[in-house]
Amino acid sequence: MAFLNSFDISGYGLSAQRVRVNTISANIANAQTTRTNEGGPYRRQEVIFKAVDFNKVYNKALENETSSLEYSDPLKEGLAGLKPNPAIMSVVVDKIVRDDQAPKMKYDPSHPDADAKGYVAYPNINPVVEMADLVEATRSYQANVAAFESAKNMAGSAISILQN
Amino acid sequence: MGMGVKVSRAHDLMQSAMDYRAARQDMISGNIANADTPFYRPRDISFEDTLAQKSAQIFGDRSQTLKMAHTNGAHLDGIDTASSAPTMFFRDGHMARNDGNSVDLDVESTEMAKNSTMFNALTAALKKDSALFKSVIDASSKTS
Amino acid sequence: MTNIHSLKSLSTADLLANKSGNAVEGSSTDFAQELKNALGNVNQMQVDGERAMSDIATGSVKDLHQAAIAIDKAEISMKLMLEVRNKALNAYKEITRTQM
Repeated sequence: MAFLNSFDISGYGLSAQRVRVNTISANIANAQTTRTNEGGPYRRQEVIFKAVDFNKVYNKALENETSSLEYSDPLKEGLAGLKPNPAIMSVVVDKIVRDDQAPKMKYDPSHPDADAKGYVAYPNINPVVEMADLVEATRSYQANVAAFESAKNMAGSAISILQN
Repeated sequence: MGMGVKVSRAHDLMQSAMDYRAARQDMISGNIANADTPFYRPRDISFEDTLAQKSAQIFGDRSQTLKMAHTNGAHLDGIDTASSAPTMFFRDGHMARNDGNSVDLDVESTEMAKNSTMFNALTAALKKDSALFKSVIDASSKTS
Repeated sequence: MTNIHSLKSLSTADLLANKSGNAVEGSSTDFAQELKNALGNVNQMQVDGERAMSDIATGSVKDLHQAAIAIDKAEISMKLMLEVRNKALNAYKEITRTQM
């Protein structure tokens, strides 16, 4: 049922944003974790998204029927000549990467995790940055919900043609 | 069906418009879903010119096309090119952010609202169109 | 001078004759004319409605409510004309059924 695909596009977006929100929440929760299973303090995690071709058959048909304007590359990123194919793409989580920056060192010899010099390694997580990311992820989530509602509204409107 | 019954002249036009608007809705949903994907650029499809040309053909309205100037008696009219295909393009008015992504959620939400409003208007107009013909059929069945 | 007088008498007589003639003919042509005008109006509204629908399709509609009203008018005028036609047909059948 191809017409239900438009719901799936937003559905994949919702799932991806939820993974992102969970990751950020884990970062915030573990901002003070000095001990982990693999040793060392907690390392900040980040989600990387990837755009996937959602419906290869439909995108191919669209590409054949329409003319595609090439990308003019206003910022000179070396992407000139790119064509908007495939046209309809959804998103999946490509990978979750760990931040490899050096941890923050605090002098606290009485801490059980202090090293030989008396420094304790804390995760390099800035709660303010994480909160800003959380707000943006929530906003993206809500935009995906709005897209879902809009698609449902359009499908309902199309069905109403059959009703009196 | 083979009956050759035309509901109204604008019916096919509205049907094509609804197809394009449904495709555009999917594109905008994809843009919103990819609002955080690195190096993603929002896509859009422009079909207004295609449909305007079709409409001019149906209604025989030459005002939509520019006539070529004849400065000499031997000048011919330009070749009537076939109706243009719709264009897909990158709606990249917003500068790319650090991760190469240039999706503006506000623009996408606005475009989606406009698109779905027009789609709903089209379904309502389609319903009225067929309702008109249904009333004609009903009326002729009342008189024996 | 004679021309003017004869013209004068002619003109009044003619006027009277024309007036009565027009009155008699006028009623019959008026009805047929009315019918033609009505049909023309309905047709014009259909054309306007089709225009409005095509404007909605191409996205070049300036006011959505204007287009919606034009389409609605087309439907109402058509329905009204059909009802009038039905009534006229029924009246005609009534008359033909009159026993002589």
